[in-house]
Amino acid sequence: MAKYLLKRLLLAVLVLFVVIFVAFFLIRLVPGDPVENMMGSSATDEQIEAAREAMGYNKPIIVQFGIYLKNALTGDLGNSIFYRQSCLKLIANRFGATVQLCIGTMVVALLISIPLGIVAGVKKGTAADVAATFVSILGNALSPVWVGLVLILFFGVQLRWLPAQGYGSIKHLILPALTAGLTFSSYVLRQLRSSLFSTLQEDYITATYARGVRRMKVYRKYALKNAILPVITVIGVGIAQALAGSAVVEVVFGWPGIGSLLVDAMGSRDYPLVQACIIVSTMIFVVANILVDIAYTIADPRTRIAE
Amino acid sequence: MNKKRMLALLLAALMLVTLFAGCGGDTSTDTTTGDTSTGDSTGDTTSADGLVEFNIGLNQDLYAMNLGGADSGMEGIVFPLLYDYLIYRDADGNLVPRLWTSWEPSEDGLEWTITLREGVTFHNGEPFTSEAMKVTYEWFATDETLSIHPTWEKLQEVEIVDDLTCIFRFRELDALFLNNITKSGCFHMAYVEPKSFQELGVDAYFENPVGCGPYSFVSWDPGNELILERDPNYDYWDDSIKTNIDRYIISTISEDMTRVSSMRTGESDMIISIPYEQMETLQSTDGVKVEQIDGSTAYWIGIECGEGYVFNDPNLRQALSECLDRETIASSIYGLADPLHWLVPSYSTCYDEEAASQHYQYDLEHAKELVANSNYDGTPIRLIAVNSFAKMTELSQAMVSMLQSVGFAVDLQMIEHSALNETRGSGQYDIFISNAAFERDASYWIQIQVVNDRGHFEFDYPEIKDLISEANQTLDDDIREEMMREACLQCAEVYGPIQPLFTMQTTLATKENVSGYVLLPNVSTYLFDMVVE
Repeated sequence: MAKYLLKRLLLAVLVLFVVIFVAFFLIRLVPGDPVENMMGSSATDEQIEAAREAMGYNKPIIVQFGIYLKNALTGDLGNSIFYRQSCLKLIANRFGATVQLCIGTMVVALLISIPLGIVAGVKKGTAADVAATFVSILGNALSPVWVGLVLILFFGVQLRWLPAQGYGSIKHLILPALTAGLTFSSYVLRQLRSSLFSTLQEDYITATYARGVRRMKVYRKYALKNAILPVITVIGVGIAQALAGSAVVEVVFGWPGIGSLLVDAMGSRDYPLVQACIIVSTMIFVVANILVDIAYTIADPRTRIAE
Repeated sequence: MNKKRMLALLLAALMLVTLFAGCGGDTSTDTTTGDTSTGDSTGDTTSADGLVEFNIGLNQDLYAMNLGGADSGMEGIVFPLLYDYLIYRDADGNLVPRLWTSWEPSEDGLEWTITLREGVTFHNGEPFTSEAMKVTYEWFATDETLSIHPTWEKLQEVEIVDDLTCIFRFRELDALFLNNITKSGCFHMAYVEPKSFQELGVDAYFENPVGCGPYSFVSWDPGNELILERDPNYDYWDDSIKTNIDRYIISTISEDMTRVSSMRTGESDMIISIPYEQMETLQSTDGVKVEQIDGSTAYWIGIECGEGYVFNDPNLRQALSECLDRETIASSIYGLADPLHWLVPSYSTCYDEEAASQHYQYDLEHAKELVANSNYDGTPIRLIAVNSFAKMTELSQAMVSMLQSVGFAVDLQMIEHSALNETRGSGQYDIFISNAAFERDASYWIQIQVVNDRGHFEFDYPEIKDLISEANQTLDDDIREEMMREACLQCAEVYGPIQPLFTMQTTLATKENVSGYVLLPNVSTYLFDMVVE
């Protein structure tokens, strides 16, 4: 396991380097100049040029990359051009809110998808399966913007049960989590349904029935354990995605997460902040993947034996 | 099997309905569900600790408390609470002394002698003296990386005469000095406490900025909320302000419908920038009142007038202007807008109502005639529209239709705002749609656009440019305004390089028990006399 982890960590460093390279150059391919955006429409071309020179954006691109890489490797991802604060600090300030939304999203998604996924997988082809599939398709098809606004109108404006926007308490978290969780639950539900159904077709399950084991015990002790393995991967990726920021949900609910920070940074071409968000998001994905792999080995002893 | 088929059909029907319902939903444009039910926006403004709390929902986040950063336009609401005003320009345009009690120009206009109000202190107890002016404005003038630097580039130094007197000395005449100091919606009204600023450095200082305003900084969570609390020492010099609000919580709610909902639920006590589709909903909500006034934000089109471009021909520029039905655009597409027939909105001092009534008028038949009689060869006109501006899809499509109706071929390109400057700068356009928030004195904006050619218009009318440049060298406000009016008239007569479209109205909603605030056309709001009953 230690060897495996070391290998993954080395790979992570390589991935990080590639991501820094790609993030740095890719954002600069997009039309738009951050200095010009920051200086605004009342600055002359000469003043913008002077600002660009003073901020180092006139240096050869490869020199700029070298400086950025050197700083990045020491943990300095630069200062936001617009916010004039350390990018890492800006991201860190929003990380707590992002984690909260992630946890809320996962709780909602699993509460919806696990029971429905089991029902759908066990009772494939029945009305229950159709209903569960309908919920899954609904979650996938409905725009999170629409869902969020409808929830605000119903629970916030009409019933006055929950706040329409904001951050700071569990009450503020419910509607954003419901919105994001409904979308994500569709992926988990479909994966679990398909995985459980396949597992229930296996010979060893038939043999288990033949030995007289009760149905519920078969589902719980034999089928679900194997069926849940691919679902762990989906959940892991989902957690990583949620931690990287759910921009749409954050904008609708005024939730101060990393997603909306990245969207704003992209819109204003705040190069350092965009790069920092991409790098942090990548690291989150890398760590999440490693944790998923570890969870996999815990859930499936066969993986450990194979190693 | 029949049961299954029925269920499948039902599912398919529901899916179709859901699919259509789920489509769309651009967070930046209208997302109304047609809900016009009346709600009730009560909500208590007293916090758990007995303080009178006031929640404001802004449509955009502050970028920075750091005066070196970019301004978002929201500073006009927030900064006066923290910094007060150096000079306050009221709704009628009069200059009211606040932290500056007098301001005298030298004869040549290169020096301004400023007298500061006696007995003012910062929130940290330090005295407000000439040193604050020197440190602040020399920082603005020397650091080229600041977004505020272009405004203060001409400043040579701030000389300290004594604690309460200083001289702003300019390298060349800055006729807009007072206009810059009284600009709202940006950093010009703000200043630093010199001792802390120099000890802590820029970044650390702005983690806890101090001012001399009635409210001191408590905390700022970017993207979430800014909290300001009444400074107990403020009344020492101005006990005339009437506000009873102890704490401001200023939140960013960028999604229009969410912001309106927060007003309806009572979570917000005040919101700005109300979309047209939500006006009726808010007006019918118990406990909410809505205010709308003529605004200072105008939409306009910039025209590439250079050699080889379609609109190098002034007759085709005239045809362009005459084919645009500004009244229809303002009323049908935007609702809360008024057609504009002058280079600047009525809020600006060089607006001429009488001349505006005779220019940029809709005349479809004459426009057709002009195009037919021109050398226009059918080359598609590149129309650039910024996709993040409100209702830009509708506006640009309406304009395409209007242009085509008189014989122009149009190639519409929707781009991001950040890409607009690059597209303009490279001359890869014929016309673009943009907007601007105008100050009372629009001289500098006109200078930048027409003379400095910020939009790459290639507008070859040296007499107009000379007139504008001369106006910006004129210290006398009245003479400068008259010269600018003449320059606007001359631009109108040659239909370039900018043609106005419409002005957006400025809107604000508050709870009914709120009074005493003054809403200004540029969205900034005078809150010092605001009272919550």
